[in-house]
Amino acid sequence: MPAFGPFDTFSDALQAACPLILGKPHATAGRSTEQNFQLRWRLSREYCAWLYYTPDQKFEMSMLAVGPLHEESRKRTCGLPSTVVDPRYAPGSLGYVFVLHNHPYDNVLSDLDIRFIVAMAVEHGVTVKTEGGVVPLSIIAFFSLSSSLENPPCDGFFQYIPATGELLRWLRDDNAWERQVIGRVEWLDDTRYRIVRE
Amino acid sequence: MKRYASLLLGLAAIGCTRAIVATSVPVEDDPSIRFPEFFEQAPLEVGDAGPPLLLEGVVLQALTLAADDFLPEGRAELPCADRQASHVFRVIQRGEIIFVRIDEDPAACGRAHPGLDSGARYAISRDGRILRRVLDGMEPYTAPVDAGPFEKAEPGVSPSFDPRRPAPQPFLGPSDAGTPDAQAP
Repeated sequence: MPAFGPFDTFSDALQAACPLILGKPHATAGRSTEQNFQLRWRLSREYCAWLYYTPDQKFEMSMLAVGPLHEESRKRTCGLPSTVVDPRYAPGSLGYVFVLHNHPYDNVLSDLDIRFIVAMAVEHGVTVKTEGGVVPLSIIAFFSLSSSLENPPCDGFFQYIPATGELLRWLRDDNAWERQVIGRVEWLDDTRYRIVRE
Repeated sequence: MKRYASLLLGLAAIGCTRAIVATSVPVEDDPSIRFPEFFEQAPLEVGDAGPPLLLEGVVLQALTLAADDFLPEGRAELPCADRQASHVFRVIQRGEIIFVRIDEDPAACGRAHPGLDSGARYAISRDGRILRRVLDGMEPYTAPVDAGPFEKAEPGVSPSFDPRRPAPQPFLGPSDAGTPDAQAP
């Protein structure tokens, strides 16, 4: 994506991607108990992108995909292609690290988020080798706790890591980040799983 | 026994029953209702072979209520991904509540994968009330009383991942026994 990075670490790339995605038009809807929530939710949209690792040993973000705007539809979805086309690099030379998207508020990952990233792990691999070490593939949903319409701050994100089964919730406290294990996805075979909340 | 069965149904099964209920019904939001795990058991599926599936009218009513609420039809030029016929429906009956999970069937629209957050869950009473509706991406996080501790870390870093000790990954199939499977750009 033009004007994004590239970054030496995925943590730096995540911290840059979060406000960028949440700052897109109608990426957040505020707290569900607020007076104008229903209107904001009807207008809200979901954005998604890949964070990927290049042969130049940098982390970059793909172009953003955005879900359709249908006020009368209850879906707030985003269709992400399973591969990134970056004309600077040969097909098959990219490492797939994070699926990034936004949720309208402090909302947990959905079953389809979990199933999608596992499908990507099957397609691309559970981990990716980088110069800084092996990184597990995961999916991330950014959120803001603010009701601000313009430039809502990045307050945290949810993350599911298929390699470990961990469901994590991250919060930003000033400029430091804190994580909490909120659950685990236990796969029984290639289609069945259960979510164990902690 | 049948109330604990999970059924995976194509919309063809309910597409002709839309007259049973109105398309707009009140939606209650009872957060005390907990949804069952829809993907823990392999569903029974209506297919070309096998015995017929017997569906109670109240189950059909719940399916129709959920389908009409989540995917209202009647709009002109409805996109493929918004059509009821482009979805699959899972049903679990627990006591007096019928739970419905709706997911995109990407193959119906010529795609390989469904969109993120493109499904929904419903809890519906046997007398036809929507007791709870949770759209994907809209389920609020509620911290349990005994929530684990927060710890400072670099964003995105797993607390336990160790590439030297790969865990078995059942979603990769029965042959996987923890073999490292790293992409190598």
